[in-house]
Amino acid sequence: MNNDIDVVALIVFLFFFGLVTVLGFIAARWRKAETLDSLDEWGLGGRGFGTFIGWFLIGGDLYTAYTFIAVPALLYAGSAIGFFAVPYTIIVYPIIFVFLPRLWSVSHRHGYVTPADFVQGRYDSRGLSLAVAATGFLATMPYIALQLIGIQVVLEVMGIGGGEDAGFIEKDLPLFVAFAVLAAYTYSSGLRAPALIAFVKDALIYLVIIVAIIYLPAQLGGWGDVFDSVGQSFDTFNTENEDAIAAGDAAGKATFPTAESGAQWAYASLALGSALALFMYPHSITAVLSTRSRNVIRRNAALLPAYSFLLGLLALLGFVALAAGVDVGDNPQRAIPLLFEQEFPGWFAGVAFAAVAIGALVPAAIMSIAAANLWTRNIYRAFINPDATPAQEARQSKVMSLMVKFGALLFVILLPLDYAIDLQLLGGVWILQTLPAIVFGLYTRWFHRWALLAGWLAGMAYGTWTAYEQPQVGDPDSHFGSPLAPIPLTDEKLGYIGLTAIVLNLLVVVVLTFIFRAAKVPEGVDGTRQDDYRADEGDVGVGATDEQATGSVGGTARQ
Amino acid sequence: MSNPPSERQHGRTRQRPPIPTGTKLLLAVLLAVPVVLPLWIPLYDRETPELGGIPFFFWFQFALIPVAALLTWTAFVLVVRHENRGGER
Repeated sequence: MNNDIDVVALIVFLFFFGLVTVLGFIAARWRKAETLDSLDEWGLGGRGFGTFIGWFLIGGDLYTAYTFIAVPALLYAGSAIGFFAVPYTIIVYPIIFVFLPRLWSVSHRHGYVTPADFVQGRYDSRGLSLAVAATGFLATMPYIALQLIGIQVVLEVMGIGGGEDAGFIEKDLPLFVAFAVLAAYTYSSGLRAPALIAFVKDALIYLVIIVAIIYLPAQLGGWGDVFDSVGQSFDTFNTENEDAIAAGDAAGKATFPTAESGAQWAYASLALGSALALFMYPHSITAVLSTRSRNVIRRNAALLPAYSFLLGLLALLGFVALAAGVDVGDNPQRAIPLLFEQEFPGWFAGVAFAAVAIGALVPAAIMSIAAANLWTRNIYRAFINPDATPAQEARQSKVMSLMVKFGALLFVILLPLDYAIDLQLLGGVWILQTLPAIVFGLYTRWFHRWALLAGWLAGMAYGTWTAYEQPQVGDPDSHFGSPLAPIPLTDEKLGYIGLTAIVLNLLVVVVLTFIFRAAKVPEGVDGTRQDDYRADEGDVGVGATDEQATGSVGGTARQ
Repeated sequence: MSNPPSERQHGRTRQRPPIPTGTKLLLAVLLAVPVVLPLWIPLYDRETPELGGIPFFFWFQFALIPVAALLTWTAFVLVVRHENRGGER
């Protein structure tokens, strides 16, 4: 790309970037605590966010910049299943309505900060807890890297940084600066920083999408014309490449999965699998645990779908970009930023670029906090310093949040782009394998801890291997080409690997639980009580200004 | 384990009467509908009827979003009403 820099767009962009930087540092004094030197304060914002802040924070956390870039890119590229993000973000909310309040309750009563804290407290198994923590860490890292890629795409289109022929410094310096600033205010303000910035992020995103969705199709003659033009473009492609498609050297293009396409299983399994996986991610749980009461979560389960509507509209902009003749070169991820640059006046393009870039900062901050907390609670405190004070924990997490971001930055700068995308694909498959330990554990202690560990291992191994086996279209020797694979025991129907892996995982868990229970293998001591799972704001031991974490995690398994 | 479940933590949750079976069933239906409908693709895998030029496949899923939100909100109201009736507040 050889872009001229649009000065107006750049100034507007820098203005908003400066604004959120100031907000990020001010956030340390927002809803002021006596001290930020504990994970309850630094890592969970005091555990007292209400419905309003919670909506912005969780929305800002889940609907990331990468989503905003990648989902429309799928539709632009003619992937029939690209719209699965919408059913995915519809079905996730009734599911979390059911189980997250229980996780919230037990976590508040026992001072749990991470999902692995809960697993340790419930199952008394450092092995299982470590498996959950490590999976969370591995799945989160590439996700942070992808947020960086979201910023990078925007910077490239704006003409600053990026570009294949740019030098190392010129190419990556703006990205480096953006992330250094983010790291600094996350370090000082903790979760309060993304919570405050989320207001700006979402205000900008909603503004940009609503304007785009009203203004752009009208420019192109209305939605009917947009869909006609997209349909023609895909038909032309399919006709011209008929032989290649038949030979499997190219993928046919379509707007949605028809019955004949055979892609409906893929569409449904991706939606269901992704929905089940979403709240296993540590950063989702971090945002949820920062809320004040069970009802904040339930109310938000009904209010957050507003973001899904937004995501759906944004996805359709992928078609709009195609109809508008946006030329992305070899990278469909440029579709949305290029569309904005081509169709909007400079100042509004600047607003739109700022919206996407800030949209990357919020989740990146929360993800790095969540990953850092996993380190502190489930490795540092569990294995290195069991008697850590809250202040020591906070210091560990702060330093680790810097290292996590720096690691993600190196990842993006030094390794090919595909690695981050492959790993994020794997991350989704992996994180889903922690569901039995976390979600089933909220309801029953019947499952044996070692059976859960074995099931996790089976799901991880199967999922990783199967994902590795999938070649990219047109390159039979390549790997990690698709999140889809033939579902075993069906006639070669394609389905989401994560979902098949968790079915295997569950089988192993159930069978081994029967065996371990029959053999009377020690099952450990449950550190939680029945009534912990229903405790709410106002009950003893639950609340924003509660005593420090009571230390019911970590320590040693006693066999 | 530095802090085993202790007497200290016993009985600290206010007693709330269990949700009646009828209400539970209703909650299950309210929450199952928005999970099942989006996964039932043969229900909406077609072009027509279009809405403002947008194929049925897309606008149907958009329409599901407020429906899902409304059903979830109804479930929320039911749960809160139950808890307020049974709790000490």
